Amino acid sequence: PTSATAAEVEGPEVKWNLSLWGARRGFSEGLEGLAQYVSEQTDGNFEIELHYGEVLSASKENLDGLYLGAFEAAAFCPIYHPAKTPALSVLDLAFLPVETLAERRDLIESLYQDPAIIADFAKWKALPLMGVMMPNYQAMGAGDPPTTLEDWQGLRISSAGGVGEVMAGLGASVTLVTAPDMFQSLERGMIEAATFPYTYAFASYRLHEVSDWVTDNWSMGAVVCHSAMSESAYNALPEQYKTLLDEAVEFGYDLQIQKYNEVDVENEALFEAEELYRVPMTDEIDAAIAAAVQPSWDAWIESASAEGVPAQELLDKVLEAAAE
Amino acid sequence: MDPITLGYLGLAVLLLLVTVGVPIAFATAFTGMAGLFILRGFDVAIGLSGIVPYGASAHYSLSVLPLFIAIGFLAMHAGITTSAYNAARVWVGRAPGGLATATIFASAGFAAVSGASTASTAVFTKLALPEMEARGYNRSLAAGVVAVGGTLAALIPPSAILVIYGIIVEESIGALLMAGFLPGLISIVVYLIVIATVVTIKPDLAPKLERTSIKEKLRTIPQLAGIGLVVGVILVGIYFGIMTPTEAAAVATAIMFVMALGKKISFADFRSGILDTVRTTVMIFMVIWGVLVFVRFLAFTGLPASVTDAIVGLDMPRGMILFAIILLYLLLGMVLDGIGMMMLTLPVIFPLIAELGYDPIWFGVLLVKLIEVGVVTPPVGLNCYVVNGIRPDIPLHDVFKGVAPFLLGEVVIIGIIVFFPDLVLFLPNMMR
Amino acid sequence: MTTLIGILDRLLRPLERFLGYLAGLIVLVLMVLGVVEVIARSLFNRPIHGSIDIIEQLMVPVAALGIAYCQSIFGNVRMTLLTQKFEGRTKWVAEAFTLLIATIVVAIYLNGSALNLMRAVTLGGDTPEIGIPLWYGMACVTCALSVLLLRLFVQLLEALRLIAVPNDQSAIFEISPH
Ligand code: NA
Ligand code: NA
Repeated sequence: PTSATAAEVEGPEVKWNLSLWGARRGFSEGLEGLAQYVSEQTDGNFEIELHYGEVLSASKENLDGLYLGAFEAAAFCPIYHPAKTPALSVLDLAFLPVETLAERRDLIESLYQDPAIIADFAKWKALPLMGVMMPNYQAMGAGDPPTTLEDWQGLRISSAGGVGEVMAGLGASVTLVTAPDMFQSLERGMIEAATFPYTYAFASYRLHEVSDWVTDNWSMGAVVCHSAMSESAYNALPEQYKTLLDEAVEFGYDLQIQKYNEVDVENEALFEAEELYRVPMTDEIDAAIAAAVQPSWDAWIESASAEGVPAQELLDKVLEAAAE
Repeated sequence: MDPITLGYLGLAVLLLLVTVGVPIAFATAFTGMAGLFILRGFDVAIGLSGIVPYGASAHYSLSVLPLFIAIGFLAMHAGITTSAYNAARVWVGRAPGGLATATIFASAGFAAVSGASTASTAVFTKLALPEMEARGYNRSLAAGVVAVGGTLAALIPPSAILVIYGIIVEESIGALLMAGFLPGLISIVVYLIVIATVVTIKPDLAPKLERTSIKEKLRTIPQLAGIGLVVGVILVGIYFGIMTPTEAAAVATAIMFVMALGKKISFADFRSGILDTVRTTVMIFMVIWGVLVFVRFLAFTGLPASVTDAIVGLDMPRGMILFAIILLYLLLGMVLDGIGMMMLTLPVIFPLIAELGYDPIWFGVLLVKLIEVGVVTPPVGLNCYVVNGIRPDIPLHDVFKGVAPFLLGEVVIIGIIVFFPDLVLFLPNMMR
Repeated sequence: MTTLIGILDRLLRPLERFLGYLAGLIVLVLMVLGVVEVIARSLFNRPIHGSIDIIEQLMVPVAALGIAYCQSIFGNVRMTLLTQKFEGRTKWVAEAFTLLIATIVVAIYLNGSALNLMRAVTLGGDTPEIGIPLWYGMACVTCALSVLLLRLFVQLLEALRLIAVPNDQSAIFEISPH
């Protein structure tokens, strides 16, 4: 729905604070859309104020803030502290077969109905609000393109989480460089490549300017972040606002996907101008990745099961949903 | 009460507490906690504040701070700083205001191994100040030179405060450290001109020294090798991207550590170096904690956003806005220390700077220069406090009086940074 | 009163120094870790797995363990231009006020930090790369804050005592860094 067609919603004045980190960017456009939608529909009676730059809480402590009731909503990434939400980490597994942002949205939303996932939120006195998506990861790097499996041996790559594990499984030498220092490290050869959400993160850190190649649509999976709202804040909302939030979430997702697509078009033009070589997926590499993915999934199943998460069941559900 | 008004009231209470002598770490935390209590209740005030000491400390990039500080204290306790000072004295002691000039040169050398301007001042208060006094230097001038010389540590890499800036605004720490280098050199030149001018006008402030032979001069060169090595590692390591800033700091510390062992540092001196490092690190982190609690409170009041909106709403040319920002920092520098000032203001100021199209690396260097002016101006002038803390017999106002002539020089340096941004960006651009 | 304060002070000093040295030793560990990381990566192309996690968690004791030592020598930055002029009873009233504020702050930090620790223990939380549980660091901060609170308490008692006898000797306030 758009603001032009929907009817205005009457209701009391409600103000929510939403804790975020960094500056406004593609990552946060979905939440911007959500806030904009509820404000427009209620004539400014229901305001969700987005606080950037970790002023309300550090990104790693947003769940604690929700638990404390310090703010009504917050974004968070399970990858920063996996054990805080052990079930949710299933979405961060490397090389999940999710191609598009729309598919990822549907997967996230279906998972928000799952009892194990709901329990992850409930532990922090919170409810899922909406997924905060990043596009699929790709690897970009300088030097000769790693077109064969052998080329990946010892490749110095900055990569985190499950994708990092798989890169290590391929034989790469995985290291971690903080994002602002990535450009320089790549240019000066401390690292030869990096995995990042494609295209926007590469462009925002200008990595394409010092790169020679990029993987061509390898579905590496993505880090999935979420936004949550305080249970008590949600329960205190009048019914019409709760309904409105559902619509706003839909609007937010659409806006986020649209914004990412817009930047992708611009960035692809930039990458085109740099004449980046597109490293194709070969059968050999595909097999090596598959061999590396399974242990990384198994490791997750083992550790999540130890935390009492029905991990295998959850992963099956994700794979099934992704296949649809 | 309207939250924005509460925000202003919070600022007023903070300033009051600071003025009556409550340490900045506690004044900011207290005001922030009280504000959170009023706005969000008791549980939230306790809960949010209680997360900060852990959360703000478990930070990768901040790990360069204790390392940068340790390099300086190890150098001092191993006697490497004394060598540097002696070398500087032998080379330039004969010039007008020679010992003051030597102190600036030695401070610059020490700046290249020290990340914290207070640490640098502490070292030269113990080392150079008594020397100048013994040679009949005016005590106020001598104290001022030591306080001002300390500020070089913040510009010449390594620099703790540039690192913190880089973390807050998410810019490359390597590029920032490189950017501070040339403005640091310019500052040295300007300080030397100030000393020469002051001493020419009032020669009795600084009696001349005896002549030293060329042989004596050459003999001091090997003693400087240690400092040269540390500078080399940090600059080359970061410049060529061989190491992250944290790694470069670790390697430089290790070199200094080995050199200290080579100089047969006594166990007692080593322990003092360790405790000095810890004390300075704690001092910085407790301020970070306190200011973060205060920032949480301010964010809930909506004050920062309203200020940003107000400034953006002003239809002024960008030069005017920059001028206003510079004035703001010079004023804030009167009541807050550098880190506190940066953490409090950057959420408001940085988006503005970005919007106006200024280079974030350049602004970082300008900001650090402004902060360093703040540490030598009354009433809260950290470096002057350090001098007075180590030498209680020199009253604070005497230290501030000694700094006064250098403030004119600082205005010139700020002018150079503002009007010739390419000088700041020259080195980082070479890296790009 | 004087004896009680004296005993507490003498009990705390060695503990504070010990924690201070411990923090300093961990700085040296950071140093070694950084050097090893550079060597492992550039010579052997084998970076240390989870080095960022380790460094982050080590930073907690580095920042926190020395807080009581720092306060014991009044090492926290403060503006003394005004208070320097105070003498006798006025001076101790101002000191007591400052210490009262600091005590309240640290009591709240401690309370909140203990809650944070409890949450980490019961609800979980670990580091991204190698899964170090977060509660170690939180426990460390909580302990350090407890010692700092004791130190502030001793200093506050002493300041209150000196309001009554402004010209008495004080081992607690006449401290030089070394
Ligand atoms: Na420095
Ligand atoms: Na000042």
